[in-house]
Amino acid sequence: MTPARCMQPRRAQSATGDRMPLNIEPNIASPDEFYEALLAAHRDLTPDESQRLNARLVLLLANHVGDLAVLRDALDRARGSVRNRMA
Amino acid sequence: MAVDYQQLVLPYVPPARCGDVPGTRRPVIVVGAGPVGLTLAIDIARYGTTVLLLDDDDRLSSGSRAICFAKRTLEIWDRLGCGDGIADKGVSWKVGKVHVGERLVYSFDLLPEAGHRRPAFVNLQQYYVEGLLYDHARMQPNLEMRFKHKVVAVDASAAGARVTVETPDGRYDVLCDYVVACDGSRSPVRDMLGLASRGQTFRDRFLIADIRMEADLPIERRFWFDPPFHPHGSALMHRQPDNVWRIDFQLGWDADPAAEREPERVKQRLRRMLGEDTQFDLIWCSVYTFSCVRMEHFRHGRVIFAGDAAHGVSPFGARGANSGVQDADNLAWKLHYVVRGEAPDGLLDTYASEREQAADENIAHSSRSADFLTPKSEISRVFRDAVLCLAEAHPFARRLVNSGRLSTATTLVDSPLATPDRDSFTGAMVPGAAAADAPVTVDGKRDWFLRHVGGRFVALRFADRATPRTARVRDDSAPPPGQAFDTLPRIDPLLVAAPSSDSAHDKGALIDIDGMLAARYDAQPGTTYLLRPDQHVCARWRHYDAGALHAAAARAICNG
Repeated sequence: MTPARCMQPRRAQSATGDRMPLNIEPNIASPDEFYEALLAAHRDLTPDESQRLNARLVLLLANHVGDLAVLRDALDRARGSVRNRMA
Repeated sequence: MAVDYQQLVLPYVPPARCGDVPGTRRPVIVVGAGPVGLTLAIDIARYGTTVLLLDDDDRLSSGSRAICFAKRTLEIWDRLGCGDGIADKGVSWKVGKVHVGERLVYSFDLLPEAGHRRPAFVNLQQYYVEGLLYDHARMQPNLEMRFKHKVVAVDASAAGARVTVETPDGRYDVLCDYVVACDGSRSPVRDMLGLASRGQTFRDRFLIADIRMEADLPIERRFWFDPPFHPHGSALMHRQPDNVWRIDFQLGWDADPAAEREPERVKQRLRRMLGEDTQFDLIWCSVYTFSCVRMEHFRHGRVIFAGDAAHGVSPFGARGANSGVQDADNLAWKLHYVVRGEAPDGLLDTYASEREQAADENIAHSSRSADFLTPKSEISRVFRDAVLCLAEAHPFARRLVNSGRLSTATTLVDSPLATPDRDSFTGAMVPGAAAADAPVTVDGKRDWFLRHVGGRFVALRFADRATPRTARVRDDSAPPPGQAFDTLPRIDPLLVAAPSSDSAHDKGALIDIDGMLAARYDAQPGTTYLLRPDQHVCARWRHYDAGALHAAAARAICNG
């Protein structure tokens, strides 16, 4: 089941042969541990505090990635999965 | 005795005493005697084209207004012969400091290298700049200025332009080839033509105050986000000459402009910032909002727009007056070549395309700063605050803090007048870039490179063994086939020699005494640059090639 709020970004679907700079293959050695840590970081926070944490997390990780093309790709995919844009 | 430029009343001459001969057609009329109009009129006059400058007022800028004048602007005024007065009177600075709350989180140096004649910025009240430009304008034989001569109508067609001028003693008409409107953000000429400047207005208000105060503070641009003396807002402090300080407070959109201008209220804010015991006099204040706007086209046939009339930005990058002066720098030589019949009218279209692109760059920087200072949405504020919070302990976040990205010379990328590189180069002096300065010596005396270029096309040649003793450009080769000399601008040769080279004793050669010129231009022996009259790079080659030089020069005046 696809959750109602999750849309498949159109660009990703139609991107056959179009190489995306963002690595979307598994890259985290212990995915369950990461997921647990992510939730743990948010534990006991109000939604407002969680939003502030997420903003800091995005900035820290974006700097680590560095490559603007990769970041733009990630932004497009993230936005596309929230709001499916017209082609 | 120094002139009090704020009290200076500029001379009004009634139309009957102006000596106009009916039916005379002037090449250029400039409307508006602010920093941009004065710069443009002086520049055109110095090229040798007569120019009439009209202004509706007889006073200089009221209040300090624009105060930060950038290195490139000073270099342009140097070319016009009035840079010293302005730079000497101004307060030089190059370091900016950004505080969050009480902590200093970020410091930037706008000119971290030596070997430049001019500093990154000088701060100087706009009325001084206008006064010093006016004093210089009065000495230009080709420039006539008329104050309290207000342009009320512009009737332009393919055949020419008729400008109707209103004075206290009645109206008169003047004919001309080109009208340049430098008449400010509310440009009456723009309205007369039914044109508009469009973009976005930011929903925020700022209080700007000038105070006189004895204070022994470092000469820096100091910026605060959320300081204890002004919670939830930003504040900016700048030093000006005469012990005058500029302070800017972000008030928010809901502030009442009339109440905020009340001197007692302003002083209360200032006391919170400066301390209850600090003595100061409030000498000027204003509440403003800002927009990032531009006209779609800067040229409309015979009417051309420059400065705030053509584009507007927030004050936080000092990109208003500085970009306007660069407009003037770009336009003056083109008007001169066109009215003299030495270049086609299409050259003026490149003023529009080059400076429209520059305006887009300035607007992009200014809008980004505004989005940081005045977040437009809740999430925008969350990210802004996250950046500020991370900045103290995380170096990367300091680079994201945006309290204004300050004006630098615009590189005219994609200029139709530039010849793309054929040879391999590195560094900043790409075709379209404004020429960088460097120390040189001439006949054994210390000098600056930029004093020797500009005002004409220059072929800058870094000496090699093949360079003739007198590095002539025009005479040592035939023009390319099918290319007549009269379609080419005059090009003056300029030889640069390393201190140890054989050419170092050639008369007129610039000696690259510290090697900085070669380093900044990525030059090797034989490297040749073609520079425009406004000192922007047209083209460059690894070896001198007369044919390529002529082709690039022809292209640079739209004859290519």
